[in-house]
Amino acid sequence: MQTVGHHTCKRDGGPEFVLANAPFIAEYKEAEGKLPFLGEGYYFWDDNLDLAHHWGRVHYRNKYLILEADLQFDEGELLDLVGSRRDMRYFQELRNELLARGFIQGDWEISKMVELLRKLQQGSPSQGHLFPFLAIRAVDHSMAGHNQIPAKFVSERDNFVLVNPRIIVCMFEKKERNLCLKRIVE
Amino acid sequence: MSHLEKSLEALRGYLDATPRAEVAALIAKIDQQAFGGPTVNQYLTQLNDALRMDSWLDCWPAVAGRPEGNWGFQKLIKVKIPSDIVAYPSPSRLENEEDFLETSVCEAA
Repeated sequence: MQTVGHHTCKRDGGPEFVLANAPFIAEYKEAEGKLPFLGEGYYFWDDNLDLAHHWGRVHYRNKYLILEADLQFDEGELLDLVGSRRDMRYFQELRNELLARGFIQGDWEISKMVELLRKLQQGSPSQGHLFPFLAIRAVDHSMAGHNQIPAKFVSERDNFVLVNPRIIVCMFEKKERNLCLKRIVE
Repeated sequence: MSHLEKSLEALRGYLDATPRAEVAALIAKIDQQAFGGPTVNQYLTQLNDALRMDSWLDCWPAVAGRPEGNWGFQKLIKVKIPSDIVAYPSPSRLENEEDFLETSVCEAA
């Protein structure tokens, strides 16, 4: 899978520093108000420069830079909860397995699921296949976001499609081979 | 067998082979990582201590009716209190509580 990722960050250090060091990690610490949606990792908007700018204006008070990079993942490296029904069914099965055994409750968040599965993977080398992904992709369906454009399928029905969805890519590790052709967008 | 099937099999194998208490402890550890900060009451105690006044909560009813006030308050008590906010003027010394909330949230975020 290949896409363009947009990572918004503070302007600190200037373009050269950001180009050399971005993306920056988003930590998972609720006690400090840090709650990345897909767990700890390096976050990108999926090919959405407009949203990356909006994020910079709102969260960094206009003092931001955007790292644009080509994101490339080989087969099996990306858990795709946007475009792969197979991956979605798999993730539901993982969740159901933990639910059925009473380890999690029905209202467990995706972020916590991902953190748990990654820790299981890291903690037991013999379980190398347990959660073998380098990244996860998901869409935020909340309607409160910036520039959401619901387009009705037909005028007589309320059914609609979002033509500008907020798609997030979270890389668990910063690997150069997954991050190609980095450049700064101001 | 696909990598997804291998993953599911590995999870089932791990859960079958591992004592429940061990898995539960790991999950509890993640909960602690996520929610392990001080409780709301502990935060309020810290705030009261920091601001050295008994009636800090007096400003709470004033903001309770406004969504942005609620948000500011929740944000304020969810994050750790940085050292620089300890010396911050008490709400009563500011002209209005909106300034207090905006500045406090800004400092604390």
